[in-house]
Amino acid sequence: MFTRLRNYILGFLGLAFITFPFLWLSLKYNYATGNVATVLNWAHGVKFFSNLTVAFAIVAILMALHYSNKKWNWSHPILLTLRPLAPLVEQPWWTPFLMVVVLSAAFYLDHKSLGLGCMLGIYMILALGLNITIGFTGLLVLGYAAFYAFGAYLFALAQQYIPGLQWWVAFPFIFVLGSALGWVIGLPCLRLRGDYLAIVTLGFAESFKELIGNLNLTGSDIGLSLSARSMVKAIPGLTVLQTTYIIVTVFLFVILFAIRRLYLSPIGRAWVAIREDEVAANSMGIDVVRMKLLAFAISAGIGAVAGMLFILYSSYINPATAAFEQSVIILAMVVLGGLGSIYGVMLGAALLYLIPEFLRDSQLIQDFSPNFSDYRLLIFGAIMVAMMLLRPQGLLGSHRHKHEIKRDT
Amino acid sequence: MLRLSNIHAGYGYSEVLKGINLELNAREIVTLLGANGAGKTTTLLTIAGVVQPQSGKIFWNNAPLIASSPDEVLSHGICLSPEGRHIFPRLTVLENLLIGAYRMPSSHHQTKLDRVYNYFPLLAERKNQLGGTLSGGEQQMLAIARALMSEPKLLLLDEPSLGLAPQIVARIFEIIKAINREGIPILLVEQNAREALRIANRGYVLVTGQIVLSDTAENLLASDEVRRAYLGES
Repeated sequence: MFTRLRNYILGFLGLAFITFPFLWLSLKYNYATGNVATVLNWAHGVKFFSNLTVAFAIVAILMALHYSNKKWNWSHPILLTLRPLAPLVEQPWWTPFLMVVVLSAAFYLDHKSLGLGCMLGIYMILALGLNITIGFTGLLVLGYAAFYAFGAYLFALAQQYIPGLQWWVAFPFIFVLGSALGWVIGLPCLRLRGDYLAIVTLGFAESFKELIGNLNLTGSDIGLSLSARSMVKAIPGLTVLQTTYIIVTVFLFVILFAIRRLYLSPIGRAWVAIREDEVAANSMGIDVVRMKLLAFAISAGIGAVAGMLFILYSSYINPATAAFEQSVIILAMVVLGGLGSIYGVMLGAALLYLIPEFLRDSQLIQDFSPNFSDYRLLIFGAIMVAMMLLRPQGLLGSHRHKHEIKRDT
Repeated sequence: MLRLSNIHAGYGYSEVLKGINLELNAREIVTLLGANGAGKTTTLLTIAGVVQPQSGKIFWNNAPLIASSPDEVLSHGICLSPEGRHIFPRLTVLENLLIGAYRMPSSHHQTKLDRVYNYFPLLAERKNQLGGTLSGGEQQMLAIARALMSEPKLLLLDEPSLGLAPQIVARIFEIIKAINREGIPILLVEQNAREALRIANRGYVLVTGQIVLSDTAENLLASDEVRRAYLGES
């Protein structure tokens, strides 16, 4: 516990040290002499670090959740019937407070932070969804953004034909249709493994992107926007953005619970067995075909729901959502956080989404290049290479082992 | 209980099994002997549903066994412990065992585990250890234990002695015998013919996909032909 705390503080200080010249200094160009002078910019550094503290708080909370090993004794026969609720109650005692804090953030965050919160929630959902195929089942899916875009386009199209379609009516259909799409894409992929599967899913995503970018129905390059009637209706007393934030957060909680539940069930165990050794899994009675398709379908369904949340937040969608970079970013979140680790991939989402967002404000970086976010992919690539060398299991590698043992003995 | 009638099977265009007739009765240990490439493993894989027979029929409890995949075969109670062990190296011993009991309701897990730990006390000690960190012999025990978790009505063991020290082999064969005493029939494929024949009731000798000899284990152990070909005696 204390070593972990120490590492955490050391990490924070280390990051502060490394980033010091970039964040606390800014360049001043002297027009009279033509010299460039560096000026200490306190306000800027403090602002960046207060931002970074938020990111670190999220990281710390997710780490605490990840490392908590609270387990119930389910051996009593009456308790055993309630065991499906295990992921709900086997939590640190402060989890309910955490949920309240996260939800009530809608009231005390400013407008910009709420927007970040919405997108962070959506990215976390995406990372959780992709983790099912890549992390649990070991199926390398490279075109996940296509399912994301599919959900968004589905909602945007449906509300054109069904005026005033509300999200709570649409989302079960979006989930089911997204899952169906995942199932269909999964079918030809069943015989493929590893790189080949990645190529097929990548090809699917690219052709999907080209399709929606060229069809008149989907608004071609321009994309689609949500009509006012289908947008989020604000809860009385709240703004639309606050309501959207609450919707995203509730979706995140529900999906998190569902995935934890699945992971601890025989289905989750079957997925992991397929990842580890398909031949053995099959001879132990696991229907590999069905389980793989199920992983594809659930993962795609979750991606589609995330797409719906995205269009509720942004009220606009264009083909860039299905771009390869999107898929890579989500994949990077999963790999960075830790393949197969539920809180790990959320952590990956938090880091890879928030840090570039915060760096966007950085004065010095803006002096050098106003389009810092253009370098995101370069930095992601560097991070991926470094991760593979230094910590291939990800920041919070799958914790499954200790986890299962305490639960089932 | 199990009967193979004129089974032809193979991989692609190469026919490995050229008309196998084989029978296994309740409570029996039957062993398949033969040189490398004779079709022993293919016979097991065909029964387990990994390889589809090109012709011929498999009868299970006097009814034709129709299954297109190993999981369907397992639902009939036939469980294969594959050659080379195929345990899950990155899962713990306990998780390995639980995957073996994949088709069982979770309320039955504890009794199953207790039963398996009874055969393999060592696994109970190491239940929290990762499968890949076990020694070869322990991994083989885990593979057999995992197969037992599915409550098989017939156990197919493919080369359980592969790459193990003689002492460990003897222990594993003792356990196989003990499992059989509980009433589970076993079809055993072995290179280690002497040990296999010692615990088996009957044996079949395969040569290039055909059964050339079938007899009781004692007779096979005594037969000159088998001694010369498989036991390394002149």
